[in-house]
Amino acid sequence: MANATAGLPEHHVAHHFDTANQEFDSIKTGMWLFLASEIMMFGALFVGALIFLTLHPAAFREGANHLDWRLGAINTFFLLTSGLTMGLAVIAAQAGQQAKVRMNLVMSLFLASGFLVVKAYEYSLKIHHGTLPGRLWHGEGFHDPFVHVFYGFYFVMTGLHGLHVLIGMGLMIFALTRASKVQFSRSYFTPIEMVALYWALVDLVWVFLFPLLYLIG
Amino acid sequence: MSNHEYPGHAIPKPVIIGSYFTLLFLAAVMIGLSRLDVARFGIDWMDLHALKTCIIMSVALVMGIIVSMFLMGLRYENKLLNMTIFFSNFVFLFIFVLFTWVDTSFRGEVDPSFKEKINFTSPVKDEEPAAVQEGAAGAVIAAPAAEAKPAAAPASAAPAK
Repeated sequence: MANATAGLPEHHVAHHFDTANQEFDSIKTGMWLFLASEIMMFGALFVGALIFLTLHPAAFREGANHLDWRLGAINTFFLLTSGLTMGLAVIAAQAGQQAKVRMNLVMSLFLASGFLVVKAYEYSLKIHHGTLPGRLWHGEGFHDPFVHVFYGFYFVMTGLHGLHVLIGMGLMIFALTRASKVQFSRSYFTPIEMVALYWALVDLVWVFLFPLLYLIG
Repeated sequence: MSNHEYPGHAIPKPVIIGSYFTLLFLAAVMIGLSRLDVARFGIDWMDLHALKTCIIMSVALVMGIIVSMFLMGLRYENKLLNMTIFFSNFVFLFIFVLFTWVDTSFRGEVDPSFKEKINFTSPVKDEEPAAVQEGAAGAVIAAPAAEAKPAAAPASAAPAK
């Protein structure tokens, strides 16, 4: 375990834990509980969309056909690739390669901002076309009387997911600051591991959102 | 239980990279399937569009399993507690989906007077465009799946008032 970087202080296990293993396991169990609550939150929206799809397949189809699958595909590429770089950041942290950790985190940040730029462009198109949920709707050329409900799901689900991307970017910046303050090693890589877990959840949600909203129509 | 030397687990690099390319491939498969025009097969004894939807969502499920198993490292997780949290989560989600779907899909079939009680008819199945104006979001819940057909209603009547 050759550490290329020198001078950074080692992490000390908090006084209320006996060992590094105990500290890591406690934090990780807390993280899993948090991720489980996140899945239930997104789950409620997926259940709503599923019921809407079974009740009004034509409205769903019409709404989905007005979304550009190419923009969704670009965003899928951005998210999956950032998932890869986050995975590589964890491996680099375990090997104590601080420079590689920083590089992978910066790449993930770059890809995540690419995702948000594409999403902002897509939102601007929808606002321009007036395909907004509920009372805000002023879209023209649609036929199904329930198509505005599809856009309700679209904005709430992608909006909540986009918020998670934004929070994830904040966490990556936090991990970057940790990488410049503490030496990571096989015994201590907790911040990177937890941010990567959170980011994998963002990936996981998108993996279902993308086909549901863009491809089913 | 975790009496090994180091905390957590190390996911091998080839596994991460292999998962990434598999996910990219599966995303391409989903997009390819969605571009497929099932109408040109000329099969009308089954709903090919619904079948396509099921296949696309099944591919998404496989992608979700790959993300959770390899990117989230569940495959290498040695803590029974963490795995219990994650998998029991999906059991509850399944119960949630099942009961909500069963409830909303068969309203009006079990109790035929249901629609009269809540005093509306689904705007989708009405041919009179005037009825469409009642199309508030609440009506979505009660329309049985079998009656959901495309309706040629004027676009101006689409939004909820």
